[in-house]
Amino acid sequence: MTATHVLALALLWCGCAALLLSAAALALLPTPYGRLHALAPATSLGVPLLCLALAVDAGAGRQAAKLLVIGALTAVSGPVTTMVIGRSMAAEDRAAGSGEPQGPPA
Amino acid sequence: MAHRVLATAATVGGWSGLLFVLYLVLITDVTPLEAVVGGSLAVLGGVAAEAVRRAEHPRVHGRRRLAAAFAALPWTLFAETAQLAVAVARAAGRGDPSAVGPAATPARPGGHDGDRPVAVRVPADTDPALAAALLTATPGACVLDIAGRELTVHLLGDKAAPSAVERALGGRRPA
Amino acid sequence: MNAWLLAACVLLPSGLGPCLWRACRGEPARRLPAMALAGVMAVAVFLLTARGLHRTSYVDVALVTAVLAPTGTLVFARCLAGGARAEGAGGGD
Repeated sequence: MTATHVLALALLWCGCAALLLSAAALALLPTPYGRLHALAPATSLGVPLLCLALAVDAGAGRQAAKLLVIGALTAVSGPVTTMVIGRSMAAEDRAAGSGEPQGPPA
Repeated sequence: MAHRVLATAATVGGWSGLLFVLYLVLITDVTPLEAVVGGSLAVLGGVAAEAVRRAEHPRVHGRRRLAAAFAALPWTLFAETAQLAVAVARAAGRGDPSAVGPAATPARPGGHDGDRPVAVRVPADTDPALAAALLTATPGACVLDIAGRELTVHLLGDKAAPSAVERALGGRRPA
Repeated sequence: MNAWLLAACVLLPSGLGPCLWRACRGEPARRLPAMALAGVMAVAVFLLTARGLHRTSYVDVALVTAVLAPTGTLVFARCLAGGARAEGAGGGD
């Protein structure tokens, strides 16, 4: 059990814990906007930590760069998708509140 | 005129270079034919980036605040993840987690009964888009809408205490 | 069976299960968070499987998923907004 192996496993378990927390939050939180918050631990902590673990395990090189790019992509796209989804939910609530019948989307 | 040409060349060249480097790193070992294909597609990507720059004129305001907020991000991430875990444990302890949104009448637009109301805040001189992205990256806040300098944010948990990221951005909460 | 494959086997039902469940209930826009999280979970499972089975080609699948899953979510959000905007503005775009 070398140090890199131990570090990789530690990062792996942290990343998996964050992902499982996200799933639990999505399943258990009672309100729709609360469930929107469940995305953040997965995209900001879970997948980047997982990619870091895999990169540590792979050692320096092209494979590690690829994994880190995947982690960075997920971390950057996470907040953007969350905002877009939040906006759609707010718009749907507004339309439902004003009582207009929603036709099929254009 | 020269300034515009320079900006165009910098954008196209910069983005093409970045995309080509990504292509080399991520996708392939380089044979000359693959390099040509990757290079031409990278140039196409650079042209697309230039089109976006002309349409959107992106500028970054308030770099120092954004840097401070970025530095505050890791601590806030861990703290608010812990908060989320506590909220999930509480929800699990309460039992009966199912809450299918009622298809009929919500009490008011923007939420249904029992949902927390949405707080509004105004960051000072920072770029609202990047500030919103940094705020949404933390589990405790989700930005729902951006109107000028005003962000409509949904908060999880304690409303009275702004997070470290929010304080670093200089966000205030009117009324 | 190594630690990576074990993590993938744990993550597949317990990560994707709640996402699928939530994606089947509620108003259309309220199913979107579940859909987005399912995409993120898929990326994680692909990466872990790639390492666990020693097949580096699965990392390319994870890369493509990491790019396309948010794009798909944006498409769905645009689709949902299209109907509302057409109602409000009287003929969107």
